[in-house]
Amino acid sequence: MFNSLDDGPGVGALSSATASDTHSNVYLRDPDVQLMLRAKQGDDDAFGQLVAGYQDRLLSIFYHLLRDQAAAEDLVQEVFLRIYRARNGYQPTAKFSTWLFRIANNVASNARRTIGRRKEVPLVQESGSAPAVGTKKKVISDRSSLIPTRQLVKRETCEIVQTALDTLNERQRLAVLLHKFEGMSYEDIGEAMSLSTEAVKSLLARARENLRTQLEPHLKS
Amino acid sequence: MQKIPRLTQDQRSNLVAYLDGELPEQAAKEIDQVLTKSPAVRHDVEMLARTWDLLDELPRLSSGEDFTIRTLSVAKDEEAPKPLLPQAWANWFQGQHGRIRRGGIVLAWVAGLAASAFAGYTVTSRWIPDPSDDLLRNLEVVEKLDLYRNVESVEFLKQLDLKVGTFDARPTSKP
Repeated sequence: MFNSLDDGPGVGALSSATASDTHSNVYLRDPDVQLMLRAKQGDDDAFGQLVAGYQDRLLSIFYHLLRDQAAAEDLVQEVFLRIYRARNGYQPTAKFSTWLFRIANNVASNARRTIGRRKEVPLVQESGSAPAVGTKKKVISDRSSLIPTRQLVKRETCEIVQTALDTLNERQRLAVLLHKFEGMSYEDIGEAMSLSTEAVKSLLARARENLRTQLEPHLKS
Repeated sequence: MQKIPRLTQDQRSNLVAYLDGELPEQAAKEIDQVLTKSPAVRHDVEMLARTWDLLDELPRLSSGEDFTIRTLSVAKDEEAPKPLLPQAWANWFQGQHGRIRRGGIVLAWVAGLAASAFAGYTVTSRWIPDPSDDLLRNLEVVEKLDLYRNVESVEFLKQLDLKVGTFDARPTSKP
């Protein structure tokens, strides 16, 4: 299914390359796959475009998994470093984003294990320490919501939602984030998280039910 | 009175997939039918949808403008061949700075003690006389000590010399 993930580039892909040859043409239409193929040929600008295109998306996901922006940025960089190292053996046997998020899942799993051992990075920060959000879009939207009451309500809502999200286990949270932030299908989430589509369906159903339990009282109030 | 349909266990577990458009057409149609007739199920679905929409309130982060450049730089730097010398040595020394310092202090102490021991030996051997030195210097006398003890006085030796010529440098020839 995939090319290079945990192991060396292309190792996993070579065994399934024949079976997936018919599919590879489909993936070649993916503009990010094209960029990755250019990066494979040594085009660092193409790799830079991939980094620029995904860095904030990955950062948001890692942040909501770890609730620590500095640690999340390190993980984003680690994902791109892994991709860069694997570029020479890259084979387009999946959508680029699916491949990237599978690497992200592996990186997040490793980070969780490390955090579990070292207990250095808190899984959940103090609710008062808001992340530094710097996109132009966000700045504009912040300026549009400078009315104190509206801002307060928005901030409270955000904290409530974050707290509800924190009640999910990490697999549920990742599935929710990939589905919500990335709009990924169950099948793609399954590929990224090494789960069957049925398992993703069940994971998301439980997660959404948990979120409903946590958030419904706030909706009523 | 018309009976209000209820969701089966399977249908209930499929509600989220139904909302996400991930259900097969037939299964989705069955839920549609229940939804049109059951206000309770409609409420459940609405709550699921509204709580899901609340997740839009979660902040999206930005990594800053130079993140791409930094990442590319790190990636390229990682692949660049590393010179073994002198940077590698410099890094090694930098890493071992504490150990080198401690080793240096120990070596300085050992060298200081050795120098003190040598100086002490030299001083004592030069200025403090060794009793055996006198014996060595007067070895000939010591060897003939028993003979010399038989000599009672210098007068005796002079008389002996006059009579026999024992201490004459030149051998005397008798006429």
